Amino acid sequence: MANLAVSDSEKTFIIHGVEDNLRCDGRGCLDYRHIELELGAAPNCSGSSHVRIANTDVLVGIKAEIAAPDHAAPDRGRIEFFVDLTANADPEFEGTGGDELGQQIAGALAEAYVSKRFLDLSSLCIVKNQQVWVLFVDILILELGGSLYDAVSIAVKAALYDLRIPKLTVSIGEDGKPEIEVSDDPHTQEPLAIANVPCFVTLSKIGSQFVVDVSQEEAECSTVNMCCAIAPNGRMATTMKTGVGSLHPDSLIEALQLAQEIGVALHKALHKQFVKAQELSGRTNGFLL
Amino acid sequence: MSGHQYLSEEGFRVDGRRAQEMRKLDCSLGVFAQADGSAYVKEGNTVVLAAVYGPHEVRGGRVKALHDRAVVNCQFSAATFSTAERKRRPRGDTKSVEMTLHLQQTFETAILTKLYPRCQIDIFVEVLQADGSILSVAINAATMALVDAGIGLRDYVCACSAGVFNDAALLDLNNLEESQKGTGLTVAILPKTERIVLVDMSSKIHSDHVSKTIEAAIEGCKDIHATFDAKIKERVGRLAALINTEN
Amino acid sequence: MNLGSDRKTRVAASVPYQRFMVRPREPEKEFCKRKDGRRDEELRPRIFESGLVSDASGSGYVEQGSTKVVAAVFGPREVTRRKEFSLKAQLRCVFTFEPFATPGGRQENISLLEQRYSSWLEESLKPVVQLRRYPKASIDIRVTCLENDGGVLAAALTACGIALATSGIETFDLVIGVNLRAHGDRVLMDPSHAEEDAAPSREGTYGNVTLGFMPVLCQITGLLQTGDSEPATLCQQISSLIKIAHGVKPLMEECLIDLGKLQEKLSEVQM
Repeated sequence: MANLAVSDSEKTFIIHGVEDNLRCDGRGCLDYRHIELELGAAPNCSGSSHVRIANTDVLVGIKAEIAAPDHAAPDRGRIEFFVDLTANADPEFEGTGGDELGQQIAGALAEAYVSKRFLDLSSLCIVKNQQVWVLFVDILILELGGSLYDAVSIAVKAALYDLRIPKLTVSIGEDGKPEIEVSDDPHTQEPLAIANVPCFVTLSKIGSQFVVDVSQEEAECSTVNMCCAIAPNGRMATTMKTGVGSLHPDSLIEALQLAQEIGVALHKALHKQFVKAQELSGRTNGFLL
Repeated sequence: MSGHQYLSEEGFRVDGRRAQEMRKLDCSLGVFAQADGSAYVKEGNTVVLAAVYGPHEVRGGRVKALHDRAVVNCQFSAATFSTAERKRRPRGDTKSVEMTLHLQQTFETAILTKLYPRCQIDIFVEVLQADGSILSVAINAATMALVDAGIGLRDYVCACSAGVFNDAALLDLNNLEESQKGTGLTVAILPKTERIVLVDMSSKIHSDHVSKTIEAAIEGCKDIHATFDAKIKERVGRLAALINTEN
Repeated sequence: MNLGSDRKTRVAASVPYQRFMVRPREPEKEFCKRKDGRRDEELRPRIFESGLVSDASGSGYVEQGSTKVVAAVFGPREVTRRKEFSLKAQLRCVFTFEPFATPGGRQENISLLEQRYSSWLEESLKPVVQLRRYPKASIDIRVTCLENDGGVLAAALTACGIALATSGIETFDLVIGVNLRAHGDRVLMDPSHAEEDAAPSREGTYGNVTLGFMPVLCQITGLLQTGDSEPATLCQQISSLIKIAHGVKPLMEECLIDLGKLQEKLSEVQM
């Protein structure tokens, strides 16, 4: 993103290419770039992942802590998102420069994860009304190369897949108050059910075509994006229009259907990658070496 | 000494190292394409990522520009999940501000700022995992990123932390050793001239031990220098070979 | 400004006692009738006003049931800082809830919500304004919610639409915000706050949909769906929202014509 300037003629070139279903890096309009995925990238977290899609580089660490529940949902765990756009990605983000965009992404993620149909947090309840697990999902954007929402949501899903929570036993103590005991064996850890967790699929409109997984240069050519959180079963958790343009209802309908198809396929491919990455996790020597 | 024995009678530390032994040092350069220079340094379980942007025009108005040298702009930030206990925010807390200041002062002396008048050089340091010696690893990572960016330096800046436990100097402290109050300092040197550019001692050390500890740290810095120098030479050699084959 | 979120008290925040209260779980009843006796597709009575804020270049006021929102447009003003130079006007939108807007006092994460709403409104208004007409200018829109009884975002967008139309800033079209609540097979138009926050239906679709729409050009400027839905269902809902928007348009036009007449009279008096 640093000092990215795309001239008008470059834009025309990209738009014409998209019309012929051929993009600068040889992809078709509805192809993703290669997604590199690694689990357990931050060993001091309960779950972590590192996702790289071409230039977009996202590191996610989840820390599980015990705290009081939200009083609107006393029998469910909590999940909190924090997105940190580092200055490494763009000097513009130095200091508090990236906070606004970070909060926007965190808000969208929270919206997509809020329903228990997509992520059931009731398994994270320890003592109803008093103690639950809180998942702090911290997202670190190390490099920016377009399609940020997609990359972030893939990385979050991967980290949730990697997440292991220590098993607790609750017993009623002598004074009638519940006592929590952590198992001595560090291997008795439980994964979280993530079968229905949605991922964002962002469709950007370039010319008259919808394009998936845009690079930064392509993002400059598009004025309107449809950002849909699609679950593996094809249902939508949240949809929003981003960008400065507007859409005709007909193209919106087209976009929604495309997003659903792509989303379902993406989840299938991701699941395979997760299993593969799980086998490799912990064997690599730090993710950038 | 709160139950922990930082140096056993056999001469081993809590993580099994000898007193003067450093942790495993790994680094890779040019990890990101967008930054002008970047480096990833892993020292034991402390992992730091540094990116350098510049030299470029001074951002945010020309008022800040200096007519005879470059402005060195640093930022230290640590991922919220980097520490054992989750941090509330990645930067802006007192410790990060202090680290930023240390980095800035160190690199203002080390960079040949006179070569880049009216310019700005940004150094962004991001701690991904914190297990002690954060400042020294951050300085080492920033140096490597500056080398990768091709910015003129007086010399490598190599930093190492050291502390005293029971009259013995320990090198390259980890988090457990560092959290022991009353020990530990960080030294950064320019190895060729052996000039010290930074000594940071935020805790108390008996004056008898100071010079000994600093000397130990300097030895550590020299070790780091040797590793980095070999790394850079190997990398440059590889790049040169590439140029040759292209011709 | 920061009523109820005093920093000092926040640091030593205690756990609210409600957390430890054992509340009887409300039975998840399927509401068959809307509380205010409306039919599902019926809107609440609404009032559009303009010219409320005399200092602003344009302003709008929208009342939907008891949801009340004021919007004011300032500018276009010249951007003096060289760094911000741009061939297009810069449009900024700030949305705030009054401390007394939400029943039960100020919520905990209200500022995050305000920020989300601000950026959504900004992105929904940018396609409406002819930004290229105002190089190196900035247009600021301030939106304040006086009372929140559902559909704040839609009401805010409509209020901005009126404010922009009366400000004399060149736009492509009017913009109207409309919203609905889906609950299983039912679609509730213009839901109240209680309906928006209602427990999800046992199965099938649920959630809120807010749409920003330009009626003449037939363009969607903003969309926000939450909950659980499917593309086909959402498409249907959007088309019914568009119908509603067309229904609201005459009311908005009337409000603008009224203002026009008033201004005409004023100028006659001054002559």
